[in-house]
Amino acid sequence: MKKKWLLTGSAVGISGALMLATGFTAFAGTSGYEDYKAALKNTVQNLQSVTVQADAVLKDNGSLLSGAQSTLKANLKNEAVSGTVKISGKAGSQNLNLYSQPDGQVWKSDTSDTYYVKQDKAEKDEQKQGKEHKDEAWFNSQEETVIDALIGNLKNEITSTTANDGSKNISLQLDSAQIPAVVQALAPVAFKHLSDQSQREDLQDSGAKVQLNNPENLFKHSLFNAKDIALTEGVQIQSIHLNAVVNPANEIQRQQFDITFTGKDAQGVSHTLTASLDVQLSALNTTTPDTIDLNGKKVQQVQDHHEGRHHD
Amino acid sequence: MDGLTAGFKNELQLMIYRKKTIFFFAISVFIPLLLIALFHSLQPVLGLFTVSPTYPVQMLEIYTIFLIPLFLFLEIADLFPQEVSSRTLKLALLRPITRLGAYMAKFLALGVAIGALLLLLGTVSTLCNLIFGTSGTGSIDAFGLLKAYVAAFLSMWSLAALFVCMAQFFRSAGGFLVFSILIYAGTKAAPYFLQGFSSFSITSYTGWYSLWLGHSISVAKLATGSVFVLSSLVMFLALGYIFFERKEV
Repeated sequence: MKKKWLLTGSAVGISGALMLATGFTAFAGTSGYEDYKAALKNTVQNLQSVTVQADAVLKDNGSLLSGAQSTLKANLKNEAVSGTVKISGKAGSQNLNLYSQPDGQVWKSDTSDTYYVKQDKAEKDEQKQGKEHKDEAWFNSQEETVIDALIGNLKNEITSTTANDGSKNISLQLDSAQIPAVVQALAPVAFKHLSDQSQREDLQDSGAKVQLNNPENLFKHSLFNAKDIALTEGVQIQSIHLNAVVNPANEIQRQQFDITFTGKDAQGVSHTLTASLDVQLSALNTTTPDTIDLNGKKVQQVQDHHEGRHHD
Repeated sequence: MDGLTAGFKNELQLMIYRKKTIFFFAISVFIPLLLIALFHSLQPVLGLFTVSPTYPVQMLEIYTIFLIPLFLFLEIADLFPQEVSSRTLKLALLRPITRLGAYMAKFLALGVAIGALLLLLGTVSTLCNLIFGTSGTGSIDAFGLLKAYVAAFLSMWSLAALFVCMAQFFRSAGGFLVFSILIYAGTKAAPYFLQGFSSFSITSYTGWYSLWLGHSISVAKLATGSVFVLSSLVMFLALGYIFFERKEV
Protein backbone atom coordinates (compact mmCIF):
# COMPACT_ATOMS: atom_id res chain seq x y z
CA MET A 1 0.00 0.00 0.00
CA LYS A 2 2.78 2.36 1.01
CA LYS A 3 4.69 1.55 -2.16
CA LYS A 4 1.72 2.51 -4.32
CA TRP A 5 1.39 5.88 -2.63
CA LEU A 6 5.09 6.46 -3.08
CA LEU A 7 4.75 5.66 -6.76
CA THR A 8 1.79 7.91 -7.52
CA GLY A 9 3.16 10.62 -5.28
CA SER A 10 6.50 10.66 -7.05
CA ALA A 11 4.77 10.57 -10.43
CA VAL A 12 2.86 13.72 -9.46
CA GLY A 13 5.98 15.33 -8.01
CA ILE A 14 8.33 14.61 -10.88
CA SER A 15 5.88 15.48 -13.65
CA GLY A 16 4.76 18.58 -11.77
CA ALA A 17 8.35 19.73 -11.46
CA LEU A 18 8.95 19.04 -15.15
CA MET A 19 5.83 20.98 -16.03
CA LEU A 20 6.90 23.97 -13.97
CA ALA A 21 10.42 23.84 -15.39
CA THR A 22 9.30 23.73 -19.02
CA GLY A 23 6.62 26.33 -18.27
CA PHE A 24 9.28 28.68 -16.91
CA THR A 25 11.50 27.96 -19.90
CA ALA A 26 8.68 29.01 -22.18
CA PHE A 27 7.84 31.99 -19.99
CA ALA A 28 11.35 33.36 -19.65
CA GLY A 29 12.54 32.18 -23.04
CA THR A 30 14.30 34.90 -25.00
CA SER A 31 12.48 34.31 -28.23
CA GLY A 32 12.85 36.47 -31.30
CA TYR A 33 9.44 37.86 -30.47
CA GLU A 34 10.63 39.31 -27.16
CA ASP A 35 13.75 40.71 -28.81
CA TYR A 36 11.67 42.40 -31.46
CA LYS A 37 9.21 43.81 -28.95
CA ALA A 38 12.04 45.27 -26.86
CA ALA A 39 13.65 46.83 -29.93
CA LEU A 40 10.36 48.24 -31.17
CA LYS A 41 9.58 49.77 -27.79
CA ASN A 42 13.05 51.23 -27.54
CA THR A 43 12.86 52.68 -31.05
CA VAL A 44 9.40 54.17 -30.69
CA GLN A 45 10.02 55.64 -27.25
CA ASN A 46 13.15 57.51 -28.17
CA LEU A 47 12.23 58.44 -31.70
CA GLN A 48 12.17 62.14 -32.47
CA SER A 49 13.36 62.37 -36.02
CA VAL A 50 14.32 59.80 -38.59
CA THR A 51 15.27 59.29 -42.21
CA VAL A 52 13.25 56.54 -43.79
CA GLN A 53 14.22 54.82 -46.98
CA ALA A 54 11.42 52.64 -48.25
CA ASP A 55 11.20 50.41 -51.29
CA ALA A 56 7.91 48.82 -52.23
CA VAL A 57 7.62 46.39 -55.10
CA LEU A 58 4.62 44.54 -56.47
CA LYS A 59 5.30 41.69 -58.85
CA ASP A 60 2.96 39.51 -60.85
CA ASN A 61 4.38 36.17 -61.96
CA GLY A 62 7.84 37.64 -61.56
CA SER A 63 7.30 40.71 -63.74
CA LEU A 64 7.19 44.12 -62.16
CA LEU A 65 3.73 45.63 -61.81
CA SER A 66 4.75 48.69 -59.91
CA GLY A 67 7.39 49.91 -57.58
CA ALA A 68 7.95 52.85 -55.34
CA GLN A 69 11.16 54.15 -53.91
CA SER A 70 11.08 56.87 -51.39
CA THR A 71 13.32 58.75 -49.06
CA LEU A 72 11.56 60.60 -46.32
CA LYS A 73 12.91 62.78 -43.58
CA ALA A 74 10.55 63.12 -40.70
CA ASN A 75 10.52 64.99 -37.45
CA LEU A 76 7.88 63.66 -35.14
CA LYS A 77 8.01 66.58 -32.73
CA ASN A 78 6.89 69.32 -35.09
CA GLU A 79 5.36 66.85 -37.54
CA ALA A 80 7.39 68.00 -40.49
CA VAL A 81 8.10 65.56 -43.30
CA SER A 82 10.01 66.08 -46.51
CA GLY A 83 11.16 63.71 -49.14
CA THR A 84 11.02 62.31 -52.62
CA VAL A 85 8.99 59.45 -53.97
CA LYS A 86 9.71 57.70 -57.24
CA ILE A 87 6.88 55.64 -58.57
CA SER A 88 7.42 53.32 -61.46
CA GLY A 89 4.87 51.12 -63.06
CA LYS A 90 3.49 49.99 -66.36
CA ALA A 91 2.44 53.58 -67.11
CA GLY A 92 5.99 54.88 -66.77
CA SER A 93 7.71 56.45 -63.84
CA GLN A 94 7.22 59.66 -61.95
CA ASN A 95 9.20 61.61 -59.42
CA LEU A 96 7.41 63.44 -56.67
CA ASN A 97 8.75 65.86 -54.12
CA LEU A 98 6.69 66.34 -51.05
CA TYR A 99 6.82 68.50 -48.02
CA SER A 100 4.48 68.18 -45.12
CA GLN A 101 4.36 70.83 -42.45
CA PRO A 102 1.97 71.18 -39.56
CA ASP A 103 -0.23 73.55 -41.55
CA GLY A 104 -0.48 71.61 -44.77
CA GLN A 105 1.08 69.49 -47.44
CA VAL A 106 2.90 70.46 -50.63
CA TRP A 107 3.50 68.22 -53.64
CA LYS A 108 5.44 68.82 -56.78
CA SER A 109 5.94 66.48 -59.67
CA ASP A 110 9.19 66.56 -61.64
CA THR A 111 7.29 67.02 -64.89
CA SER A 112 5.65 70.32 -64.00
CA ASP A 113 6.45 73.50 -62.12
CA THR A 114 3.18 73.62 -60.22
CA TYR A 115 3.18 73.16 -56.50
CA TYR A 116 0.03 71.58 -55.16
CA VAL A 117 -0.89 72.72 -51.70
CA LYS A 118 -3.41 71.11 -49.45
CA GLN A 119 -4.32 72.72 -46.19
CA ASP A 120 -5.76 70.44 -43.60
CA LYS A 121 -5.40 71.94 -40.21
CA ALA A 122 -8.36 70.19 -38.68
CA GLU A 123 -7.36 66.80 -39.91
CA LYS A 124 -3.88 67.23 -38.53
CA ASP A 125 -5.22 67.92 -35.09
CA GLU A 126 -7.18 64.76 -35.23
CA GLN A 127 -4.15 62.85 -36.35
CA LYS A 128 -2.10 64.32 -33.59
CA GLN A 129 -4.56 63.20 -30.98
CA GLY A 130 -4.70 59.77 -32.47
CA LYS A 131 -0.97 59.55 -32.46
CA GLU A 132 -0.56 60.50 -28.83
CA HIS A 133 -3.07 57.86 -28.06
CA LYS A 134 -1.05 55.32 -29.93
CA ASP A 135 2.15 56.30 -28.19
CA GLU A 136 0.53 55.77 -24.86
CA ALA A 137 -0.60 52.38 -25.97
CA TRP A 138 2.99 51.30 -26.30
CA PHE A 139 3.47 51.66 -22.61
CA ASN A 140 0.22 50.00 -21.74
CA SER A 141 1.04 46.56 -20.47
CA GLN A 142 -2.58 45.42 -20.65
CA GLU A 143 -2.64 45.88 -24.40
CA GLU A 144 0.69 44.17 -24.63
CA THR A 145 -0.79 41.16 -22.83
CA VAL A 146 -3.68 41.08 -25.29
CA ILE A 147 -1.34 41.25 -28.27
CA ASP A 148 0.83 38.52 -26.75
CA ALA A 149 -2.23 36.32 -26.33
CA LEU A 150 -3.40 36.96 -29.87
CA ILE A 151 -0.04 36.04 -31.30
CA GLY A 152 -0.04 32.95 -29.14
CA ASN A 153 1.96 30.08 -30.52
CA LEU A 154 3.15 32.10 -33.51
CA LYS A 155 5.71 33.78 -31.31
CA ASN A 156 7.64 30.54 -31.18
CA GLU A 157 8.17 30.74 -34.92
CA ILE A 158 10.07 34.00 -34.70
CA THR A 159 13.79 33.38 -34.70
CA SER A 160 16.57 35.68 -33.64
CA THR A 161 20.24 35.41 -34.48
CA THR A 162 22.87 37.68 -33.05
CA ALA A 163 25.84 38.68 -35.16
CA ASN A 164 29.36 39.28 -33.88
CA ASP A 165 28.92 43.05 -33.71
CA GLY A 166 25.87 42.71 -31.47
CA SER A 167 23.24 43.40 -34.12
CA LYS A 168 20.34 41.02 -34.33
CA ASN A 169 18.51 39.54 -37.24
CA ILE A 170 14.93 38.64 -36.37
CA SER A 171 12.80 36.78 -38.85
CA LEU A 172 9.48 35.05 -39.24
CA GLN A 173 8.69 32.72 -42.10
CA LEU A 174 5.20 31.30 -42.48
CA ASP A 175 3.94 28.91 -45.14
CA SER A 176 0.34 28.58 -46.13
CA ALA A 177 -0.36 25.75 -43.69
CA GLN A 178 0.98 27.74 -40.75
CA ILE A 179 -0.95 30.90 -41.44
CA PRO A 180 -3.92 31.04 -39.06
CA ALA A 181 -7.23 30.30 -40.76
CA VAL A 182 -8.56 33.73 -39.79
CA VAL A 183 -5.74 35.53 -41.58
CA GLN A 184 -6.01 33.17 -44.52
CA ALA A 185 -9.72 33.92 -44.80
CA LEU A 186 -8.96 37.64 -44.98
CA ALA A 187 -6.99 37.28 -48.22
CA PRO A 188 -10.05 36.75 -50.46
CA VAL A 189 -11.82 39.62 -48.65
CA ALA A 190 -9.00 42.00 -49.51
CA PHE A 191 -9.05 41.01 -53.17
CA LYS A 192 -12.80 41.24 -53.35
CA HIS A 193 -12.58 44.75 -51.96
CA LEU A 194 -9.93 45.66 -54.55
CA SER A 195 -11.96 44.42 -57.48
CA ASP A 196 -15.08 46.21 -56.22
CA GLN A 197 -13.08 49.39 -55.94
CA SER A 198 -11.66 49.10 -59.45
CA GLN A 199 -15.16 48.66 -60.83
CA ARG A 200 -16.31 51.78 -59.08
CA GLU A 201 -13.34 53.73 -60.39
CA ASP A 202 -14.05 52.53 -63.89
CA LEU A 203 -17.48 54.06 -63.66
CA GLN A 204 -16.04 57.34 -62.51
CA ASP A 205 -13.27 57.33 -65.08
CA SER A 206 -15.68 56.95 -67.96
CA GLY A 207 -17.53 60.03 -66.74
CA ALA A 208 -14.69 62.51 -66.63
CA LYS A 209 -11.23 62.47 -68.10
CA VAL A 210 -8.73 61.88 -65.39
CA GLN A 211 -6.41 64.71 -64.66
CA LEU A 212 -3.05 63.06 -64.37
CA ASN A 213 -1.42 66.26 -63.25
CA ASN A 214 -3.06 66.06 -59.90
CA PRO A 215 -0.66 64.14 -57.73
CA GLU A 216 -3.36 62.14 -56.03
CA ASN A 217 -4.64 60.78 -59.28
CA LEU A 218 -1.13 60.14 -60.36
CA PHE A 219 -0.49 58.15 -57.23
CA LYS A 220 -3.58 56.12 -57.79
CA HIS A 221 -2.94 55.38 -61.42
CA SER A 222 0.72 54.62 -61.56
CA LEU A 223 0.99 52.79 -58.30
CA PHE A 224 -1.01 49.93 -59.70
CA ASN A 225 -4.15 49.33 -61.58
CA ALA A 226 -6.40 47.32 -59.33
CA LYS A 227 -7.77 45.46 -62.32
CA ASP A 228 -4.36 43.91 -62.94
CA ILE A 229 -4.43 42.05 -59.69
CA ALA A 230 -8.12 41.28 -59.43
CA LEU A 231 -7.86 37.62 -58.53
CA THR A 232 -11.23 36.00 -58.24
CA GLU A 233 -10.69 32.33 -57.60
CA GLY A 234 -8.55 30.29 -55.30
CA VAL A 235 -7.03 33.28 -53.58
CA GLN A 236 -4.61 32.21 -50.91
CA ILE A 237 -1.69 33.55 -48.97
CA GLN A 238 1.16 31.30 -49.88
CA SER A 239 3.82 32.70 -47.63
CA ILE A 240 4.59 35.56 -45.32
CA HIS A 241 8.13 36.56 -44.55
CA LEU A 242 9.17 39.17 -42.05
CA ASN A 243 12.70 40.20 -41.37
CA ALA A 244 14.09 42.87 -39.12
CA VAL A 245 17.60 44.03 -38.36
CA VAL A 246 18.20 45.50 -34.93
CA ASN A 247 21.41 47.40 -34.34
CA PRO A 248 23.58 47.00 -31.21
CA ALA A 249 21.86 50.03 -29.64
CA ASN A 250 18.65 47.99 -29.81
CA GLU A 251 17.05 50.17 -32.45
CA ILE A 252 15.29 48.80 -35.48
CA GLN A 253 17.39 49.54 -38.50
CA ARG A 254 15.72 47.66 -41.23
CA GLN A 255 12.38 46.04 -41.70
CA GLN A 256 11.50 43.79 -44.61
CA PHE A 257 8.14 42.31 -45.35
CA ASP A 258 7.21 39.94 -48.16
CA ILE A 259 3.87 38.39 -48.86
CA THR A 260 2.97 36.05 -51.70
CA PHE A 261 -0.54 35.42 -52.94
CA THR A 262 -1.63 32.81 -55.40
CA GLY A 263 -4.89 32.70 -57.25
CA LYS A 264 -6.64 32.82 -60.58
CA ASP A 265 -8.17 35.79 -62.36
CA ALA A 266 -11.53 35.86 -64.09
CA GLN A 267 -10.03 34.27 -67.21
CA GLY A 268 -8.68 31.33 -65.26
CA VAL A 269 -5.04 32.34 -65.58
CA SER A 270 -3.10 31.64 -62.43
CA HIS A 271 -1.11 34.42 -60.86
CA THR A 272 1.53 34.61 -58.21
CA LEU A 273 1.57 38.06 -56.71
CA THR A 274 4.47 39.12 -54.59
CA ALA A 275 4.42 42.28 -52.58
CA SER A 276 7.54 43.31 -50.76
CA LEU A 277 8.40 46.24 -48.62
CA ASP A 278 11.87 47.14 -47.47
CA VAL A 279 12.18 49.96 -44.97
CA GLN A 280 15.47 51.25 -43.70
CA LEU A 281 15.74 53.69 -40.85
CA SER A 282 18.81 55.85 -40.47
CA ALA A 283 19.99 59.05 -38.82
CA LEU A 284 17.78 58.45 -35.82
CA ASN A 285 17.17 61.70 -33.93
CA THR A 286 19.66 63.58 -36.13
CA THR A 287 17.40 64.25 -39.12
CA THR A 288 16.16 67.70 -40.08
CA PRO A 289 13.40 67.74 -42.71
CA ASP A 290 13.78 70.23 -45.58
CA THR A 291 11.35 73.08 -45.81
CA ILE A 292 10.07 74.85 -48.90
CA ASP A 293 9.44 78.49 -49.56
CA LEU A 294 6.45 78.88 -51.85
CA ASN A 295 6.96 82.60 -52.50
CA GLY A 296 6.99 83.38 -56.22
CA LYS A 297 6.14 79.87 -57.29
CA LYS A 298 3.14 78.55 -59.18
CA VAL A 299 0.78 77.23 -56.54
CA GLN A 300 -2.50 75.40 -56.91
CA GLN A 301 -4.75 74.68 -53.99
CA VAL A 302 -6.14 71.16 -53.83
CA GLN A 303 -9.58 70.68 -52.37
CA ASP A 304 -10.35 67.60 -50.42
CA HIS A 305 -12.75 65.93 -52.81
CA HIS A 306 -12.77 62.61 -51.03
CA GLU A 307 -15.23 63.60 -48.41
CA GLY A 308 -18.40 62.82 -50.26
CA ARG A 309 -17.23 59.51 -51.49
CA HIS A 310 -17.27 57.62 -48.27
CA HIS A 311 -20.96 58.11 -47.95
CA ASP A 312 -22.16 56.97 -51.34
CA MET B 1 -3.04 -6.97 -16.27
CA ASP B 2 -5.95 -9.07 -17.54
CA GLY B 3 -8.28 -6.77 -15.72
CA LEU B 4 -7.01 -3.79 -17.65
CA THR B 5 -7.51 -5.38 -21.08
CA ALA B 6 -10.97 -6.57 -20.18
CA GLY B 7 -11.86 -3.22 -18.63
CA PHE B 8 -10.54 -1.38 -21.66
CA LYS B 9 -12.66 -3.49 -24.02
CA ASN B 10 -15.62 -2.98 -21.74
CA GLU B 11 -15.23 0.80 -21.71
CA LEU B 12 -14.88 0.95 -25.48
CA GLN B 13 -18.01 -1.10 -25.95
CA LEU B 14 -19.88 1.09 -23.48
CA MET B 15 -18.77 4.15 -25.42
CA ILE B 16 -20.12 2.72 -28.65
CA TYR B 17 -23.40 1.79 -27.00
CA ARG B 18 -23.90 5.35 -25.83
CA LYS B 19 -25.93 7.08 -28.50
CA LYS B 20 -24.25 10.44 -27.99
CA THR B 21 -20.83 9.10 -28.98
CA ILE B 22 -22.14 7.77 -32.27
CA PHE B 23 -24.17 10.93 -32.74
CA PHE B 24 -21.10 13.10 -32.16
CA PHE B 25 -19.07 11.08 -34.67
CA ALA B 26 -21.87 11.33 -37.23
CA ILE B 27 -22.07 15.10 -36.84
CA SER B 28 -18.29 15.41 -37.05
CA VAL B 29 -18.39 13.84 -40.51
CA PHE B 30 -20.58 16.69 -41.67
CA ILE B 31 -18.72 19.52 -39.99
CA PRO B 32 -16.00 19.98 -42.66
CA LEU B 33 -18.74 19.83 -45.29
CA LEU B 34 -20.91 22.31 -43.39
CA LEU B 35 -17.99 24.70 -43.11
CA ILE B 36 -17.44 24.57 -46.86
CA ALA B 37 -21.15 25.26 -47.41
CA LEU B 38 -20.92 28.14 -44.95
CA PHE B 39 -17.97 29.67 -46.77
CA HIS B 40 -19.81 29.33 -50.04
CA SER B 41 -22.92 31.05 -48.75
CA LEU B 42 -20.79 33.84 -47.27
CA GLN B 43 -19.10 34.37 -50.61
CA PRO B 44 -20.80 37.74 -51.32
CA VAL B 45 -19.41 39.08 -48.05
CA LEU B 46 -16.12 37.30 -47.68
CA GLY B 47 -15.11 36.57 -51.21
CA LEU B 48 -14.23 33.04 -52.16
CA PHE B 49 -12.56 31.02 -49.47
CA THR B 50 -10.26 28.51 -51.04
CA VAL B 51 -10.31 24.85 -50.21
CA SER B 52 -6.70 23.89 -50.75
CA PRO B 53 -4.48 20.99 -49.73
CA THR B 54 -3.89 22.81 -46.45
CA TYR B 55 -7.59 22.59 -45.59
CA PRO B 56 -7.10 19.65 -43.15
CA VAL B 57 -4.56 21.69 -41.17
CA GLN B 58 -6.56 24.92 -41.28
CA MET B 59 -9.64 23.14 -40.01
CA LEU B 60 -7.61 21.46 -37.27
CA GLU B 61 -7.69 24.80 -35.47
CA ILE B 62 -11.47 24.68 -35.26
CA TYR B 63 -11.46 21.02 -34.27
CA THR B 64 -8.97 21.42 -31.44
CA ILE B 65 -10.49 24.59 -30.01
CA PHE B 66 -14.19 23.69 -30.06
CA LEU B 67 -15.11 20.29 -31.33
CA ILE B 68 -12.76 17.89 -29.58
CA PRO B 69 -12.85 19.62 -26.16
CA LEU B 70 -16.66 19.46 -26.25
CA PHE B 71 -16.47 15.80 -27.15
CA LEU B 72 -14.04 15.27 -24.28
CA PHE B 73 -16.30 16.92 -21.71
CA LEU B 74 -19.26 14.83 -22.83
CA GLU B 75 -17.32 11.57 -22.66
CA ILE B 76 -15.60 12.34 -19.36
CA ALA B 77 -18.96 13.27 -17.84
CA ASP B 78 -20.22 9.84 -18.83
CA LEU B 79 -17.08 7.99 -17.75
CA PHE B 80 -16.81 9.35 -14.22
CA PRO B 81 -19.61 11.45 -12.63
CA GLN B 82 -22.37 9.63 -14.50
CA GLU B 83 -21.08 6.24 -13.36
CA VAL B 84 -20.89 7.46 -9.78
CA SER B 85 -24.40 8.87 -9.75
CA SER B 86 -25.97 5.85 -11.43
CA ARG B 87 -23.92 3.55 -9.15
CA THR B 88 -22.55 1.51 -12.04
CA LEU B 89 -19.00 2.27 -10.97
CA LYS B 90 -19.60 0.17 -7.86
CA LEU B 91 -20.61 -2.74 -10.07
CA ALA B 92 -17.56 -2.34 -12.23
CA LEU B 93 -15.28 -2.35 -9.19
CA LEU B 94 -16.82 -5.61 -7.96
CA ARG B 95 -15.19 -7.33 -10.90
CA PRO B 96 -11.66 -8.69 -10.57
CA ILE B 97 -10.05 -5.40 -11.51
CA THR B 98 -7.98 -3.03 -9.44
CA ARG B 99 -8.94 0.62 -9.11
CA LEU B 100 -5.87 1.51 -11.10
CA GLY B 101 -6.98 -0.91 -13.83
CA ALA B 102 -10.48 0.55 -13.96
CA TYR B 103 -9.10 4.10 -14.02
CA MET B 104 -6.53 3.41 -16.74
CA ALA B 105 -9.08 1.49 -18.82
CA LYS B 106 -11.30 4.56 -18.87
CA PHE B 107 -8.45 6.88 -19.73
CA LEU B 108 -7.14 4.64 -22.51
CA ALA B 109 -10.61 4.28 -24.00
CA LEU B 110 -10.86 8.07 -23.97
CA GLY B 111 -7.56 8.27 -25.84
CA VAL B 112 -8.78 5.83 -28.46
CA ALA B 113 -11.98 7.82 -28.90
CA ILE B 114 -10.04 11.09 -29.38
CA GLY B 115 -7.72 9.40 -31.84
CA ALA B 116 -10.63 7.97 -33.80
CA LEU B 117 -12.39 11.33 -33.92
CA LEU B 118 -9.24 13.10 -35.13
CA LEU B 119 -8.65 10.42 -37.73
CA LEU B 120 -12.22 10.76 -38.95
CA LEU B 121 -12.04 14.55 -39.14
CA GLY B 122 -8.67 14.41 -40.92
CA THR B 123 -9.95 11.91 -43.45
CA VAL B 124 -13.12 13.87 -44.19
CA SER B 125 -11.20 17.15 -44.56
CA THR B 126 -8.74 15.51 -46.92
CA LEU B 127 -11.59 14.10 -48.98
CA CYS B 128 -13.20 17.55 -49.02
CA ASN B 129 -10.03 18.93 -50.51
CA LEU B 130 -9.95 16.20 -53.16
CA ILE B 131 -13.56 16.84 -54.15
CA PHE B 132 -14.03 20.61 -53.71
CA GLY B 133 -10.42 21.78 -53.75
CA THR B 134 -9.08 24.22 -56.30
CA SER B 135 -6.33 22.51 -58.24
CA GLY B 136 -2.86 23.92 -58.25
CA THR B 137 -3.07 25.81 -54.99
CA GLY B 138 -0.01 24.94 -52.96
CA SER B 139 0.61 21.67 -51.30
CA ILE B 140 1.49 20.16 -47.98
CA ASP B 141 3.48 17.03 -47.47
CA ALA B 142 1.70 14.08 -45.95
CA PHE B 143 4.37 13.68 -43.30
CA GLY B 144 3.86 17.24 -42.07
CA LEU B 145 0.13 16.63 -41.93
CA LEU B 146 0.65 13.47 -39.92
CA LYS B 147 2.96 15.25 -37.49
CA ALA B 148 0.40 18.01 -36.97
CA TYR B 149 -2.37 15.52 -36.24
CA VAL B 150 -0.23 13.48 -33.86
CA ALA B 151 0.75 16.66 -32.00
CA ALA B 152 -2.90 17.69 -31.86
CA PHE B 153 -3.77 14.25 -30.47
CA LEU B 154 -1.17 14.55 -27.71
CA SER B 155 -2.37 17.97 -26.62
CA MET B 156 -6.00 16.80 -26.64
CA TRP B 157 -5.20 13.72 -24.59
CA SER B 158 -3.31 15.88 -22.14
CA LEU B 159 -6.31 18.19 -21.91
CA ALA B 160 -8.41 15.09 -21.27
CA ALA B 161 -6.17 14.18 -18.31
CA LEU B 162 -6.74 17.61 -16.75
CA PHE B 163 -10.51 17.26 -16.99
CA VAL B 164 -10.49 13.63 -15.82
CA CYS B 165 -8.74 14.91 -12.71
CA MET B 166 -11.39 17.60 -12.23
CA ALA B 167 -14.21 15.12 -12.86
CA GLN B 168 -13.28 13.28 -9.64
CA PHE B 169 -14.85 16.10 -7.63
CA PHE B 170 -18.26 15.77 -9.27
CA ARG B 171 -21.13 13.46 -8.61
CA SER B 172 -23.42 14.68 -11.35
CA ALA B 173 -22.72 14.68 -15.08
CA GLY B 174 -24.59 17.92 -15.75
CA GLY B 175 -22.69 19.82 -13.06
CA PHE B 176 -19.37 18.64 -14.41
CA LEU B 177 -20.32 19.51 -17.98
CA VAL B 178 -21.27 23.10 -17.16
CA PHE B 179 -18.29 23.56 -14.89
CA SER B 180 -15.78 22.17 -17.38
CA ILE B 181 -17.06 24.35 -20.21
CA LEU B 182 -16.79 27.41 -17.96
CA ILE B 183 -13.30 26.46 -16.79
CA TYR B 184 -12.18 25.82 -20.36
CA ALA B 185 -13.53 29.18 -21.56
CA GLY B 186 -11.95 30.86 -18.55
CA THR B 187 -8.50 29.40 -19.15
CA LYS B 188 -8.82 30.33 -22.81
CA ALA B 189 -9.59 33.94 -21.90
CA ALA B 190 -7.07 34.27 -19.06
CA PRO B 191 -3.99 34.91 -21.27
CA TYR B 192 -5.69 38.13 -22.38
CA PHE B 193 -5.55 39.44 -18.82
CA LEU B 194 -2.60 37.70 -17.22
CA GLN B 195 0.81 37.80 -18.74
CA GLY B 196 2.63 34.50 -18.66
CA PHE B 197 -0.46 32.46 -17.92
CA SER B 198 -0.29 30.73 -21.28
CA SER B 199 3.17 29.33 -20.50
CA PHE B 200 1.73 27.25 -17.66
CA SER B 201 -1.66 26.34 -19.01
CA ILE B 202 -2.29 23.20 -21.02
CA THR B 203 -5.34 24.81 -22.60
CA SER B 204 -2.99 27.18 -24.45
CA TYR B 205 -1.50 24.19 -26.20
CA THR B 206 -4.54 23.41 -28.35
CA GLY B 207 -2.88 25.16 -31.29
CA TRP B 208 0.46 23.60 -30.46
CA TYR B 209 0.46 21.39 -33.57
CA SER B 210 1.24 24.39 -35.79
CA LEU B 211 4.79 24.42 -34.44
CA TRP B 212 5.37 21.04 -36.04
CA LEU B 213 4.62 22.45 -39.47
CA GLY B 214 7.36 25.06 -39.40
CA HIS B 215 10.89 24.80 -40.63
CA SER B 216 12.30 27.53 -38.47
CA ILE B 217 11.40 26.11 -35.06
CA SER B 218 14.38 25.09 -32.99
CA VAL B 219 14.51 21.52 -31.72
CA ALA B 220 14.82 22.81 -28.16
CA LYS B 221 11.45 24.56 -28.42
CA LEU B 222 9.74 21.48 -29.76
CA ALA B 223 11.39 19.41 -27.00
CA THR B 224 10.28 21.72 -24.16
CA GLY B 225 6.79 21.84 -25.65
CA SER B 226 6.59 18.06 -25.84
CA VAL B 227 7.92 17.63 -22.30
CA PHE B 228 5.34 20.13 -21.05
CA VAL B 229 2.45 18.38 -22.75
CA LEU B 230 3.57 14.92 -21.64
CA SER B 231 4.42 15.88 -18.07
CA SER B 232 1.09 17.63 -17.70
CA LEU B 233 -0.59 14.48 -18.97
CA VAL B 234 1.23 12.33 -16.40
CA MET B 235 0.71 14.76 -13.55
CA PHE B 236 -3.04 15.21 -13.95
CA LEU B 237 -3.45 11.50 -14.63
CA ALA B 238 -1.65 10.63 -11.39
CA LEU B 239 -3.45 13.35 -9.42
CA GLY B 240 -6.76 12.14 -10.76
CA TYR B 241 -5.86 8.62 -9.72
CA ILE B 242 -5.14 9.74 -6.16
CA PHE B 243 -8.64 11.21 -5.94
CA PHE B 244 -10.21 8.22 -7.72
CA GLU B 245 -8.49 5.83 -5.31
CA ARG B 246 -9.92 7.57 -2.23
CA LYS B 247 -13.38 7.97 -3.66
CA GLU B 248 -16.29 6.35 -1.82
CA VAL B 249 -18.53 4.73 -4.38
